[in-house]
Amino acid sequence: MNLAIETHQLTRNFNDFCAVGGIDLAVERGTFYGFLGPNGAGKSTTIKMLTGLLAPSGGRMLVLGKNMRDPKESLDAKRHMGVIPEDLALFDNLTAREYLTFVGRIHLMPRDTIRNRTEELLSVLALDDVEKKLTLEYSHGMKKKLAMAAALLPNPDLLFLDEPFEGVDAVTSRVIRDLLSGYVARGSTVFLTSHVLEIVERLCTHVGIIVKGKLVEQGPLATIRQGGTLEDRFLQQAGADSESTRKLNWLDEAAS
Amino acid sequence: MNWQHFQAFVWLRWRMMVNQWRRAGAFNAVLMMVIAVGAVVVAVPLLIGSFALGVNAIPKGTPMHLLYVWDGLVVAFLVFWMTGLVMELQRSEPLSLSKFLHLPVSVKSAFLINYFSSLLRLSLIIFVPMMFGYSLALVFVKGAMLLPVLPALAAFLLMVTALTYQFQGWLSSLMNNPRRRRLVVVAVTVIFVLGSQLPSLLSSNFAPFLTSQAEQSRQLAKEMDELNRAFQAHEFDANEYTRRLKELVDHDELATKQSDSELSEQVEESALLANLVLPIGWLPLGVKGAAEGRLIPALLGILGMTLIGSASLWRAYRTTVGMYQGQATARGSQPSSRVAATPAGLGKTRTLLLERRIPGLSEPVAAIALGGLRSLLRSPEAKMMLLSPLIMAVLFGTMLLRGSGLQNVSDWIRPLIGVGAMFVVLAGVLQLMSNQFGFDRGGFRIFVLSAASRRDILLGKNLAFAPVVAGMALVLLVAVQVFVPMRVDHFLAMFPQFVSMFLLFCLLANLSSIYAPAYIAAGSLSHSKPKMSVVLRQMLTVGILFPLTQVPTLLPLGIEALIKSQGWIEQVPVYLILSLLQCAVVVLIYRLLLSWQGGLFQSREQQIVEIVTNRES
Repeated sequence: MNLAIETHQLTRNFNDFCAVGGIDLAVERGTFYGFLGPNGAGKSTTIKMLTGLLAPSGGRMLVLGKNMRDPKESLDAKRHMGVIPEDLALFDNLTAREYLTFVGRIHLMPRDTIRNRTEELLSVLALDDVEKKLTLEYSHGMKKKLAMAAALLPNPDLLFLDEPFEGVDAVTSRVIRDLLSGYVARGSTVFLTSHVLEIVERLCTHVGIIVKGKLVEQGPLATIRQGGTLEDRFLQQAGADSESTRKLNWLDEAAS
Repeated sequence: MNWQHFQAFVWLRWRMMVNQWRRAGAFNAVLMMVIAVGAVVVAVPLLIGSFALGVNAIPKGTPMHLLYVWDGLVVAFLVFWMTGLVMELQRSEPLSLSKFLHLPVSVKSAFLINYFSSLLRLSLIIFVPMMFGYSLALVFVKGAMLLPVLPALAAFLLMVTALTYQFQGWLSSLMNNPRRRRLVVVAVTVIFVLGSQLPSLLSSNFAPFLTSQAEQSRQLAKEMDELNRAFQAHEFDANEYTRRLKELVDHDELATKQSDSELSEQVEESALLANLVLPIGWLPLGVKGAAEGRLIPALLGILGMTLIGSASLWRAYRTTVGMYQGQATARGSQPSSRVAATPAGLGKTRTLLLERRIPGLSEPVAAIALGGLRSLLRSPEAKMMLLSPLIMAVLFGTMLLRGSGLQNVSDWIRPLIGVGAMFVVLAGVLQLMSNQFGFDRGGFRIFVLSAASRRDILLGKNLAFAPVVAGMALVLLVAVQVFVPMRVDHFLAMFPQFVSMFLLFCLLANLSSIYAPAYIAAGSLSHSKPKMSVVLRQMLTVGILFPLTQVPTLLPLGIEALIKSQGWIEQVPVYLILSLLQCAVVVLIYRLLLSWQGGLFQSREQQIVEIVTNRES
């Protein structure tokens, strides 16, 4: 099996709190992998570790066959990765075009390629009309779009996307979905977290579910669904408490 | 105005204040709580104490003394008041009333409640009882003629609080745009900092008097020495000696009295003029007038301050209504005309600064250097910090040039002044450079995520500062050369020396950035909730390591001074030659150590990213 991401007992503790408790991920190349979990389950911590933003407390992780705990190998892996981190990675005082130029040059891309791709990305993601603004003036959705553009710019083999659709309008969301689908169809890999199960169900070929730092399930989407919907399966795994909504019965009362 | 609403607003302000303290750490929260409770508790003793002090001291003072006392009180109050305002501006929570206008509160009520609840400040709790107690003492001691001081005090407080409130409202509408918000915060801080420099500028205004007094003392000592020498040589008898000595002392006393009187007159004139021109001086001026039996200044002061206060409140109210009707929001949401006016496709042909290549440097290094430079030049807080060396140089330079001896300094001291200027430039950017990643905030993640070599990242980061620092150093060096000209070979030696100084400084700044990073809030200039260990490490960098790393760069000048003083070699520009040699050695050391620092950086980058992107770190 040709794996893009492989972890063994990957763990991260914050003092006494175990955010990720020994997970074994196996993400095949060319798959669209949806990483699901309730709030605080450990999704973003896992992505941070896989992308080198956070050191693991224990375990092993290979990304594109490179050991991410080895400084030299991790640089090799990063040359082929695009990332949208949880809190983005933008510079307040640069415009979109400047930021993309910066990212392109860091990836050693030729100047003309950077220009052409920047032009296209800004246009496709509807950022061309605000390109004179500094990113600190952007809305959250616009920042997400710019981070997406930066992640796609070097045309990487593997994309890590942490909540890429959060705060993005419907039109751009559709554009991004189409882009990502085409991207995976060409053999690249996407590792994505999202709270929108419909999107995951529509896009992903494989799914992993993490709850309280433990990987409770992973595999092809069809296998995970077990004939039902992804939402049902997710709620079942996440242990949703339907009782709690019944406690708010005063909401049924007429307003005074 | 609804009482429950008022309570809610007061509670809200209190909670915001407490939470702000708490964010700065448990110790700070407890300390500030103790200070707040202490301030409320001491309000009554302050009232009684200032009354008692006034009753004892006022009978001894002249009306001019009363003016000075009130000036002191007013200035102290304003310093505390403005400090509170700057702190509130730097908080992340905007001051905007728009946060309340969607709630079931009428616009007028929201305005009044917010204004009255804004009065809940430590400076007001401490100073109002003090000023009130002192005013009561004035009436008690001087009689009913001083009664206008009470309405004058009320008018003064109305003026200050209303002006501040209007100012805050205006700022909050300005700060809807985050780019302008940072500019506003920085501008207010700069004005505050420059304002705090006023006393030193004023004192330099009176410096000639103090200098003449010192000169006079030196003259007296010299004449007495001469007299003693003549007496020892038996040029006259003891009676003549006593007569001449008395004459000298009397003459000196007369001159001192005259000088004191001139100084006193000058201070008095300046104080009266300042009080007349500045509305904040009308309260002290009114007190002085009333103490002299003239009620007109006090009444005019009350009228003027009440008018300013009322006009400010009215203007603030109009702003609130405008905000309620959506005027401010509508303006803020319009696209900028600059963007609309940009011809389509302009970006395709124009070469961006970030696209430029730097000969001899790899793509990542050039991109990081140019990106860093672009960010620096756009960031108001960084610009302010970068300007500080120039401001310091102008301030100190003016003081130095006023001194008499600067033109007479020897050839060896002149280059030292140039070195001092370059040191000031580096010291000015020390805070920025010793926490290079802190100012990247979230942007720092791109470095961790990138495949660029960590050595290249450090090199790019250092080079981002180079044009700015070199530019400032050049300006100061040229100024030094104009005012205190040094030999041409010494002037030329400054350039390689500066390269050495900058590279050694970069190595230190890199280490500090790697081992003592700190989170810097956007638009802010200081660390947010720094750990004690980080503060200590940065203090070590600033106080000890920075000067220490610069000392070796003085070697070439020191060696030339030694050689010339011994007369070993003449007519050879030793300083220039050794500076060039030293520069070559430092470049080599920099290249070697940078690779090692790159490794250190990579081993700590995950810890750094946790700190510089986390406001709670």
